[in-house]
Amino acid sequence: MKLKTKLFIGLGTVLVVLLLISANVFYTFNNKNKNMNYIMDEYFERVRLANLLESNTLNTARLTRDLILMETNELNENYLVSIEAEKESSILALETLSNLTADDPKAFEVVNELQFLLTNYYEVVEATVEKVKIGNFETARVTLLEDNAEMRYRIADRLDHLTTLEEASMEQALENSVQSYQNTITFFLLSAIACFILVLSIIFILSRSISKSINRVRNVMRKLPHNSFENLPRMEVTKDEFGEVATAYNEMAVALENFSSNEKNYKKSLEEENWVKTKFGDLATKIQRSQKLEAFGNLFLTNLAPNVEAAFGAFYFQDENKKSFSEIASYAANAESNLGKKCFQLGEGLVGQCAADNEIIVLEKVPEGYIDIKSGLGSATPTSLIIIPIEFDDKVIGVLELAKFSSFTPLQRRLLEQVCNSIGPNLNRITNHMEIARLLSESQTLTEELQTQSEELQQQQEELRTINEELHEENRRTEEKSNELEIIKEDLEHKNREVLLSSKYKSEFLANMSHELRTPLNSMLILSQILAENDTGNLQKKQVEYAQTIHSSGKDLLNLINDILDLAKVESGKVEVYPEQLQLNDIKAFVERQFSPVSKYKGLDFDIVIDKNAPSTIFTDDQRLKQILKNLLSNAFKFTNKGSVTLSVEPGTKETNSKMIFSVVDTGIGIAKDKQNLIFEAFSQVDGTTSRKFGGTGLGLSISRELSQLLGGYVTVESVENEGSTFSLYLPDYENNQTENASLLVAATEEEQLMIEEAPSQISDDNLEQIKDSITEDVNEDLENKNVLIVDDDMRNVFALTSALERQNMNVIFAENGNQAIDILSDKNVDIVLMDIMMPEMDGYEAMTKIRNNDQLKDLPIIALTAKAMKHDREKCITAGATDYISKPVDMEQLLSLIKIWVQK
Amino acid sequence: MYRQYGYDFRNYAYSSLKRRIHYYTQRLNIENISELQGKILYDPKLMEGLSNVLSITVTEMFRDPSFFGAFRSSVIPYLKDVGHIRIWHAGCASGEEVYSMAILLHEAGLYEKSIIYATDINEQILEKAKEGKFPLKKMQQYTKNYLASGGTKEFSKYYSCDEKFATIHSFLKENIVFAHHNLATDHSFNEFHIIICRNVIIYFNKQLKERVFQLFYESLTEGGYLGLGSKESLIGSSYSDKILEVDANNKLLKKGH
Repeated sequence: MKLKTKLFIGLGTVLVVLLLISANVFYTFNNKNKNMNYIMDEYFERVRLANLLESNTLNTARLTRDLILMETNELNENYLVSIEAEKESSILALETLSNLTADDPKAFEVVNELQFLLTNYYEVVEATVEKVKIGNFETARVTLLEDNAEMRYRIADRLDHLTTLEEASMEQALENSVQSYQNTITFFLLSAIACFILVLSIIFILSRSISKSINRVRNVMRKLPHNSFENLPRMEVTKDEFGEVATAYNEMAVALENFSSNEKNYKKSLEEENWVKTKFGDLATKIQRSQKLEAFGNLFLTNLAPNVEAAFGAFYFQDENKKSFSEIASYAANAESNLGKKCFQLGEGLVGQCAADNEIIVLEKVPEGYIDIKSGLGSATPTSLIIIPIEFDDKVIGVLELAKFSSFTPLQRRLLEQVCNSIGPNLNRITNHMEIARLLSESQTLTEELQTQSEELQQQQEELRTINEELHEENRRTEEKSNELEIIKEDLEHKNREVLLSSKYKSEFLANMSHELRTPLNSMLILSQILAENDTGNLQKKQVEYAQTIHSSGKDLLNLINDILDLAKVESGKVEVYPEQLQLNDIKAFVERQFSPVSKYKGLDFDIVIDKNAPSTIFTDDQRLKQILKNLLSNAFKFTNKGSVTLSVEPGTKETNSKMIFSVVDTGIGIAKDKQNLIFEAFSQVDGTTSRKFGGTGLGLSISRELSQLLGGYVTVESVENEGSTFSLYLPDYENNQTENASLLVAATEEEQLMIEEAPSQISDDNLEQIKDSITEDVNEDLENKNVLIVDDDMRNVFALTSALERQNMNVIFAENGNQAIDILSDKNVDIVLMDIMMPEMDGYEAMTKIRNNDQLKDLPIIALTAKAMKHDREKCITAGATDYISKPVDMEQLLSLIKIWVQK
Repeated sequence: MYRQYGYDFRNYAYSSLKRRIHYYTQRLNIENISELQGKILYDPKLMEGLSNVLSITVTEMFRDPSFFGAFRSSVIPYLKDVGHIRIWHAGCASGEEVYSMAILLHEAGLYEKSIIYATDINEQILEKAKEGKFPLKKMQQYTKNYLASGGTKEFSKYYSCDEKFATIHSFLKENIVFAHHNLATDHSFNEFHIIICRNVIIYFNKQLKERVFQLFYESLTEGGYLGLGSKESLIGSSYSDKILEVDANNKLLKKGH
């Protein structure tokens, strides 16, 4: 039965009982009330009526007596009416009483007796009234006293009897009522007790039934395990509400069991995942730092195999051809057993197949003896084998093979797969790294190889240079030897020998003499110039003119000496040729720069005409070519007073054996036909007086001719007297042909000899000795004839330097400040510059910077003269463009060493 | 050759060896190497010639000026605290770099307490190195190098010239010991604060390089410096983490940390 129903029934019963009891009580009390009311109404009415009858009777009696007593015949009407009313009232009361007592026979009998008595009484009264009316007072009194009184007593007695009766009835009714009340109380108590017992039993039954169900639920729930949701107890399903709870609980238990089992599964898989991850992580950390494939393989196997309980392992990596796989590491391999094959082609064997298919191969139940896994105690064949490919970029780059005594569990397989899936990039990184390392080392090797090659080349160059020098030396020696031979020949031919000797000595004497002359002359020039400038202003105009004259004469003298020197040098074969590729434009620029001022000064036209077919370059000695052109042009300007001077350049021809023809055409005095050969001879001029008229040494053409021959060319002249001359220089590319040059030199020497023979010789033996000495003296060829420009404002320094350098046969040029130096550099060939730093107008730094701005002077050696121990100044010098520096006061030996080094070309 | 004369060129760089021998055969007008081999085994002069051909002696004063600049700024301060400075120039050739080092030390005021051991395999070149004579023309480049290396004194103070050669002043030769030493076969002979070995190991193969590095490592005092040629490095050697580069551009390395 449902709990609800039970409750309804139980509590409903209680309610019904309570209602019944209440109805009973209500009914009982209602009855009681009715009884009481009845008693009150009935009995009191009867008593009241009895009392009314008594009073009526008395009243009638009093009225009758009054009537009699008054004894008048005149009857008082009022008394009569009152007696009548009393009679009426009594009759009504009797009637009512009679009605009321109909159910009470005793009372009814009394009432009947009363009725009778009263009727008799009022008949007596009436008889009396009648007697009064007739005036018979005495009879009336007797009747009244006799009949009436008796009657009245009887009535009163009856009335008393009636009242007693009624009171007794009333008492009876009261007694009944009390009795009924007691009964009611008793009944109520009884029913209350019954009701209480009933309610208690209902409650007891209900509670027992409910608690029984609850206990059942509780007992089941108590049996729930504390830490597991597996195999939960089920509840019996009853038909009440607890049945529903049980159903719900059972459903919950099922859900919990499901959940628990799911969770367990999940946990297990999580643990497995964790295991795989941990092992994988460990492995990854361990193999991460491997830089070499083999080390990686070994590390990989030794760390992986124990984790999957493998007893054998081999690791294969693809070879460079990408078609085969070689074993690079093994685990538990045994050297003496044929454990593992070293190399597999793609598709060969299981390893090769695995690589070819990129599929895992698993073999269970490996046959006996397939692989023997050995330990110290014995050997056995593993039962399962797994071969796994390792890929990178979808290509198999390696294969892993493992064997063990039991099957590989799915978990172990998972670990293997995961590891093999992810070490591809690692392997790739390592191969890349190895490749980079290899390339790096290769590049290092190549770099070093390059360096060795370059050094070897340098060495070879050095050796070649040495060999070259040796060859030169050899040549020189050969020449010397041939000279010696010649001397022997000369010995044999005494006269010839004398001539040759004197010729040689003459050239050398000339050369040395010029130097000896030049040294004091330079001083003279410098000093006369200083005088002429008259900086201090203490010279008179005339004295300044004198000084200028000294200077210009000195200059003429110097030129003469220079020319003699040049000629002597050319003739003595001391001039060396330094050929280079010359730009025609450069030559043109040089000529223009040199002679434009002269042409303007002399008022002559000066044209340079270059044939468009003329080659743009020529390979020859720059300095010598310029010297020849300078000589030719100087001559032309010298001998031309009006008209023009033209330099034309034409392409050479095969017949003339030249590459370029330079022609100097003037409109000057010209040369007579018969004297045209003579002019090339040294110390010759067209006529002896020309010198006075035109100045000059007359050596220019001789030098030009010698030089042109030195360069492999020649000079011709065409001239008509008084109309002009044309000097042409035919010049080929300079050929570094020693024999040809030698022959030219020999030719030159021969001519020279002729000339010397004709020339008067005034050299005494003593002089010769002196000259010899001076020759053997420390004549430094490196410094000889080098042009040194000293830039210094301090004359004492200039003097000291000049004399020291001229002793080395150097040509000293002097400039007082930077501006002058730049001017001099622009039109003079200077080999080296000695630059003082502290100067007026333009100091050394500025001067050097300006000089370096000129491209042609980029490599000109400039030695800065700095104050001692001025480190900052030195840096400044180098920055400004100095090649080297030396501190003042100058150590002459150091300076000469320095100059020697920097004039090397 | 090794058995006959004791020369060990077996671990020289193969390509260079090949070129030099080819060059030597050409120079001697010999057809092939076998012929050369036969001749060399019977003619000690030819052996000496080959040995000279094989030893490349290209060098300059203050070669790679920045190296000497770096030496000035990085190593000289270290040397100032050293009592007696020992320097080893391995493969000094004609001595240009040795004298450069002498000049550096002289300018730093350290030359008095220094001793420079200059060694080479080539006896002939050692003789040349002792002379300290260099062609005039080359001195131009050397001066430039000196200035570029941060030299601030007068370079011309260190030499005097005759017609063909500039000779290093003898005061710079006082503390230099020239000696024969073969990096391929000989052992260490002292402990040094500085070892300079520039453009020598480029002629060696890997194996010999390793030997030389070991030799240097053993011969260097802790914290000592090693100077290599501009194209040389310890890359690929097992000593690359024992002798560390302190100036990678100028190939200045230091033993220890």
